[in-house]
Amino acid sequence: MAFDLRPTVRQRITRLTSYVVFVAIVVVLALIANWPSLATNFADLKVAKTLWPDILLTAGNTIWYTVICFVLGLVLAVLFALMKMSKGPFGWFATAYIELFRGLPALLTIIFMAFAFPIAFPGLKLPGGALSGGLVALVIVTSAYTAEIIRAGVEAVPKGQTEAARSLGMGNLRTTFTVILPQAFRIVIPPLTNEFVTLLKDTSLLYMAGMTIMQRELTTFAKAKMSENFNSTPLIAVALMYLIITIPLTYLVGRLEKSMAAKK
Amino acid sequence: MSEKTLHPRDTPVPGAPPVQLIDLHKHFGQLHVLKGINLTVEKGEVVCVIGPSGSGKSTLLRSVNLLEHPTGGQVLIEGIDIQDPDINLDRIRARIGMVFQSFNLFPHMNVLRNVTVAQQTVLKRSPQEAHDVAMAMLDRVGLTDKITAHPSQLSGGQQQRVAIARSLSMNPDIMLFDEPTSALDPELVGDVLTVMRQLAADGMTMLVVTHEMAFARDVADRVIFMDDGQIVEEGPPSQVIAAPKEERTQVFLQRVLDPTHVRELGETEPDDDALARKSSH
Repeated sequence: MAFDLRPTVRQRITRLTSYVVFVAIVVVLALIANWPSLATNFADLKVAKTLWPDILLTAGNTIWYTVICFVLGLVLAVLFALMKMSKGPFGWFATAYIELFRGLPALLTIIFMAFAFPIAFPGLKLPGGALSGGLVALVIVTSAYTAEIIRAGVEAVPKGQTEAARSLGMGNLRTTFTVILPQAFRIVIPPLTNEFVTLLKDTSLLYMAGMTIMQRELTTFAKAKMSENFNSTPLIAVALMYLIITIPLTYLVGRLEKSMAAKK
Repeated sequence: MSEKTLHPRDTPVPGAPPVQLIDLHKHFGQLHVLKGINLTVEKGEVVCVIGPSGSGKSTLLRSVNLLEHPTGGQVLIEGIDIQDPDINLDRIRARIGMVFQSFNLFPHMNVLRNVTVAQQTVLKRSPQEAHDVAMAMLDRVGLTDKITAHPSQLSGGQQQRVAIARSLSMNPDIMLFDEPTSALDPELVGDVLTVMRQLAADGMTMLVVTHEMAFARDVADRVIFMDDGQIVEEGPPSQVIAAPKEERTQVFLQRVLDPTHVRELGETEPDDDALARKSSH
């Protein structure tokens, strides 16, 4: 049958079939879905109005937590990346740290830092309560991933760059910070952006740490509003907020990359 | 940057030659790349090192500023044993300019910054002084109109001249050149060689690994032919290039100077015969 046909004809049939199957699935789902229920539960405009303008404050918190954790994580990551590339006990320590926190679920680390840490070290009081513990956990988690990204970037800088810097009399540290890291950062901008977006989404896990009303980030806010209204509309609203933040971000970095490639 | 305290062994010995290699050996695992090299470069001397690929000439050059660490023997720079862990190697390296085959300019900095950065960070010159020195050196290599360009916007020949200016800006006592024209398009080789000729005429002490026989013949005070990790023959170019005594030198020169090979100067690889000859040694 089909295998007797010419390749072009066969291709056309395959494509047509997949379209038909796709459309059929969408139609069936649309038919069996309970549209009135969906509308009242997920797209209730009255509920949506009650979210305004608090949703902006919480979106601000989400961004604020992401930026803080990302920046602190980046500083730690550079440190751990350099340690991992060194020989001896520092290298071992960095490897252990990175493997541990990349191996654990972020949620587990957050729970640990928010609840177990204050019990283990009652003398160490972080300002901001349990949320700070959660933020510390996010810094640790993101630094472990970012350290590996930076290490890959450093290793992608040609060996000749180090040789040129050293032959000019620059020391090891000077070479690293003046010549190698600036080039490594350019190389790792795409994976760093991914990490930023991942971190932004991971701030939703902070709801486990618990927080005051003013501290709420998007997901905690959505959960609270859902139980207040017995309605899931806040979930959709918050989902849109996440997308409004993340999609322009990836677009922006794409353009940044292009302009830097042109400069290079 | 931590400055090690000045050690008596850290100061140049008056009258000592700029470069002195004593019974230098280098192993890469099982591979014996340098087999007891003895070489002295006197002040103001231009020494060209020639020889087939894999003969160890680049390794020799890279040992002079310890980009390669020898596995035996001594490297003396102005009488200082630079393998001594108590000396400040960075300070010695700052006095040894090095020009690489692949230029190795810093791609994230413009031309001017490439030439000023080490002056400011290593020699602690003021921005103004570093700028003035950089402009003087860029003028010397004829590239003052390119100071705001990034390396990727320059031709290979221009990049190599910036690299030379970068090294010169450190006021080096010695310049090392590691096949500086081998990565260049043929029509760009001339500009770089002109700069190097001028440098030699100005009295710079130079150690040059090169495939440019014409340059070696005209500019070198002394030519060294290396093969298989050893210095096979050395002497003035009139002797080593024009009238080599050793058979290995003759064979090599015949290959690179053969009229049918002349266009390939600088990019010739040893042919199968040469490789077979080498492995039979």
